[in-house]
Amino acid sequence: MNVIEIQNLTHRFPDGSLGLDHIDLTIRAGSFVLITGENGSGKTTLLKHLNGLLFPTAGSVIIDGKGISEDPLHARQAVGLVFQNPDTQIVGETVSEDVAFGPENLCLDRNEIEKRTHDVLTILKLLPLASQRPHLLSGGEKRRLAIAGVLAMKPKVLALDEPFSSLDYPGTKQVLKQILSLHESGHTIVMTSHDIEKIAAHAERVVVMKKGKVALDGPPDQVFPDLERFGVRPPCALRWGKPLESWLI
Amino acid sequence: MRPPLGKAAGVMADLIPFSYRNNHTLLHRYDVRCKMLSFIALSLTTLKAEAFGLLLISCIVITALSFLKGRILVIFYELRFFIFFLFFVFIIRTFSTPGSPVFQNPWIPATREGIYQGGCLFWKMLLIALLSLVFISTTKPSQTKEALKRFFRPIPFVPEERLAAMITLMIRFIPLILDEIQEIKDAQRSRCIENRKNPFYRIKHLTIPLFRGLFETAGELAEAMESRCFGEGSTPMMLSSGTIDWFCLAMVLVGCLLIILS
Repeated sequence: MNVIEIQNLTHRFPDGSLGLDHIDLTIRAGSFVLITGENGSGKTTLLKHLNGLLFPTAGSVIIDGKGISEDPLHARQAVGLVFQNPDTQIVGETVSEDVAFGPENLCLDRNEIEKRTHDVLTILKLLPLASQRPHLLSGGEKRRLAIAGVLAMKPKVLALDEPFSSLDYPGTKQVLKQILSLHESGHTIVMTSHDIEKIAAHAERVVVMKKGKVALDGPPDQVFPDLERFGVRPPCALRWGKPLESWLI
Repeated sequence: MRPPLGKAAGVMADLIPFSYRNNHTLLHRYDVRCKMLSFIALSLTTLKAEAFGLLLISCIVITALSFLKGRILVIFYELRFFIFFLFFVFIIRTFSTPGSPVFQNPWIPATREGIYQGGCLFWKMLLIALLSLVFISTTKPSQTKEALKRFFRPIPFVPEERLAAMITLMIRFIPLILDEIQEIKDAQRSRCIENRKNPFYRIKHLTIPLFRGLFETAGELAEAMESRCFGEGSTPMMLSSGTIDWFCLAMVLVGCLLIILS
């Protein structure tokens, strides 16, 4: 079953420039999709359409059976978007308050909000930091908090925009581990990254974008050899003729 | 997309006095509605009070400041420019208020009345700033928002939800603004802006990137909130008040009344 169906999606910015150009893409529930491409190729613009933050100039985006233009709130609940910069995504004054922000906006019952907050903080191992001020967390912890904030809304799809940017090695490992465990628990993962080294061993499908268009789409072993042509560095292991290895080993 | 502010900025945010500090002191537990009314009453009384009243309010403020453990020096350090501004106001008042001269020299036209009035003004403004600082440091913005919503609700034609969200977002934005200023100043210092003595040049090169950055941050924050279904109408926060909260409020109100009438 497809959880995301994009048909002929075109997006033009107010200044007239073309952000996305006739994109056709379907994403199966439970899959792990990596969207890559050089800067300005349209990766973030595409993610914002999945969450109903941007609307198509032409074409349609259907999330879990409903069009984003008809029901943007449904899209925002079904697709949890984790932004590149967690500092501007965190709105709460404490970790638990930030996690509760989304469920509160969904007008859930207070007990349900508290239960979800507690569960999500436990899953992401943030419970000891529940009353901590978010701005004092480390980079990896902030990123996990940003993920926790959207997970508390129980989305079917987790869309992550460059989740490893500005993270050190331990931070990257923490976040990667959480993403993989969420995928194992049944979440659909859609991730953008121009640095595919950290995720190459785990992605089930790779979509390469160039100038707002889908340039390549397929399983990693078919797509990776051609990445260089589209401004993306292929994983080191492939260059040396070795098998891909997870960063968690 | 700008890079995240990072740990250094986080540490800077920790030094910013006008931000909430999580703790379990009496003031943190004081019901937000009673606390807000108490602080409003105290601020208004401060404006009306004379020297004796100001002394009493100062005692209350010092007690309240003691709840912000270990931060007193940081607070006064961070308020240094405001205190300098108040001192400037004091000097102006001292020299511009008519009355009996302190010195015989006509070139130093300070008056006794001017010193008294200037001193009171200095004291009042400082007390009000400290009161608001104590309130912000001990109250979660979400609680402030809920209290404001409840206060605005009975007023007809006032969109209480929107108004409360605007005020709390403004409070939420203060640490971000101060972080942004600090980062820009550091970046400019690293490129020797201190060699430029013209203050207008320095102000211009601070304000332009500051506003550009703030608008960008505001846009990103709004987008992030929208992506998490922010809008009018959300689960209301539970506020609970006990006898002790109302007793404290009554005490503050009676005290304020006595100070005004004395």
